[in-house]
Amino acid sequence: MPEQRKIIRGCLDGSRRDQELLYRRYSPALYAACLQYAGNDEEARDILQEGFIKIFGNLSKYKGEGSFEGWMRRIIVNTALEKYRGRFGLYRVDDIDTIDEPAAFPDSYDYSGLEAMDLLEIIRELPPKYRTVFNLYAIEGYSHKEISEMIKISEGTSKSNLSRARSILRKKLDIYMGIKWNMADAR
Amino acid sequence: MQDKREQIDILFRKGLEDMEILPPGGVWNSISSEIAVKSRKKMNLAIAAAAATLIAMASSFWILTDTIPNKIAQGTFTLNQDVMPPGVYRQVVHEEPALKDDAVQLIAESRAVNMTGDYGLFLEPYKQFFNVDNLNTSLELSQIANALIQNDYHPGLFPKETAGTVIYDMYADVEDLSEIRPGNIDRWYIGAVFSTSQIMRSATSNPELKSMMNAEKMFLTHSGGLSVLFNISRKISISTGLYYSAYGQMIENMAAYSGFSEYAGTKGPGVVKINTSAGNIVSNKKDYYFSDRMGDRVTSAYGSDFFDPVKEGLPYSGNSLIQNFNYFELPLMVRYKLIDRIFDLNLLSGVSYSLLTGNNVNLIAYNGEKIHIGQTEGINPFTIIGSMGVGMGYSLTGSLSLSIEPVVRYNLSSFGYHSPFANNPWSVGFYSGLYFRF
Repeated sequence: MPEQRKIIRGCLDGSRRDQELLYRRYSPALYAACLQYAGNDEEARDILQEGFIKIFGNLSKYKGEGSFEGWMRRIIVNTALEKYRGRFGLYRVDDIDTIDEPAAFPDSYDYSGLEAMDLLEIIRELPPKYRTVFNLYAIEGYSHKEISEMIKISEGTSKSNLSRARSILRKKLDIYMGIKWNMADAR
Repeated sequence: MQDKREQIDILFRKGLEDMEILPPGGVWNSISSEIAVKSRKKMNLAIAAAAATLIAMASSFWILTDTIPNKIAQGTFTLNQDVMPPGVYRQVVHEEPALKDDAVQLIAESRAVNMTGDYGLFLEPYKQFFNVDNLNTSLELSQIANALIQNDYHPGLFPKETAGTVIYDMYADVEDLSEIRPGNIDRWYIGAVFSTSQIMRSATSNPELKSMMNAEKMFLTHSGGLSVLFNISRKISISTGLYYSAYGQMIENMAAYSGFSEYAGTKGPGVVKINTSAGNIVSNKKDYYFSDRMGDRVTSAYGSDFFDPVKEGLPYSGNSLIQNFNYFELPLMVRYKLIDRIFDLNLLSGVSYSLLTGNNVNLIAYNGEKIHIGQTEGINPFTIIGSMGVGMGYSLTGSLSLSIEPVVRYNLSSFGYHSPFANNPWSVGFYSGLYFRF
């Protein structure tokens, strides 16, 4: 997009107008991402603020390869992870096979009534460990190996947290949709 | 089972992928301040090195051109008033939105907007600022614009394809968005300033004066002190302060002999006058006899036709005199910001009111010792000096700024009453300062 390149060039030249323009244009989407990772609105604001400072500070490193929005989002995600890195301690990983797997979605179930804000609220109710892994795996598309390197946990812990996150999300979806599940019966 | 487990992933991924939520207000201001500080910090080393180099050059020039040992007391490094204040004012005081006349006119003439159209989509996020529950309510564009400005949103900054065209075009003619952008100005700064300057004297056709000036060497003038600056607006500032300045010159081709006291008094009081371009030096140091190797700058009852110090065997003491003048200065400067960027450019002008606080003449003995012998008479105790110059400012941090200014100063009032010429010296100087925002 020529206009995007023009704005980026203006930001690199120190144009405050272009910097603000870039912020105004992309901050809503990135703030939504911050809310996915943050435990509360204040943390989300901090992530957004620090993330944009890094974006402007590293703008010269963006070479036009790949999506600019994707590049910014990765910076925001890394900023969010910095706040949680170190909070994850290595703990004994339960045997994955013993963890209750959430029942599959019934084929006839319809979640189309859920809006984005509903889904965001559900994710934010997850404990931080599970929320982070779920966001990285399910939303951002990272592998367990990549996640383990990013947040300094083992692959087994990453899988475990993802599984637990799905289990909790499944139950919360049930609550939102007003449906109760019996996981044992569903197997 | 694997596919089923991933259904929940897909649900959330698809549901959240296009989500947008307006961030809370004030985040941009925090980001803007921080990136401004970071970009300035990157220049810190270079600017600090440049400043250190300038100061070192000024000091070296002073040291190299000053042949008198550092026993001279009055050659102090003081501070100077003509220093540009920090040039970066990123915030403007909150005030009534000030729109350019053409934009105001355009807004006034605009029609009421139907909010359900494209304008509605654009203005949906700003509903909170309009205090209206129903976006279908028509609002005057002036209300929209004022609400956006008051809440630090600038429609003109949004890309045209997403903004209401009319609103965007309103600001297309506004050259300086800072005129319509509310915000805070950093009003007060306090600074420590320093300068070195060289007094220049006009050429003269008077042979006596010319001869006199040839045997005089002006010192670099040093001054410094504290300055307080107040930003009236983003463009204009005034400053004042209190400075201490040191001027001086060396009188060469003299001859001084000690041990004259036993001879003094035979022809009356041993008052000696030595003519200089700055005024007459008056000495009542009875133990010293002065003569002029160049001519007749010395006026005394004990002229060379009456007394020969060499014949009388008086010890030779030295051949140079130094006139020192010290002032407290109260400056009043006005600055106008031409360029407001990372580096600011200012025009400055003002006056300084100077009070003479020190007037000393010292004999520089051959061994470097400084011997006080008298004063220069007829020096105006109160002078007014005008200044003009340009300057550059750079913010080292969010609250600390460096300024560098070349300035020309001219005595609006005479330096001395009885100097051989009513001198109004002018000087060219290079000033630097560090200002702190408070």
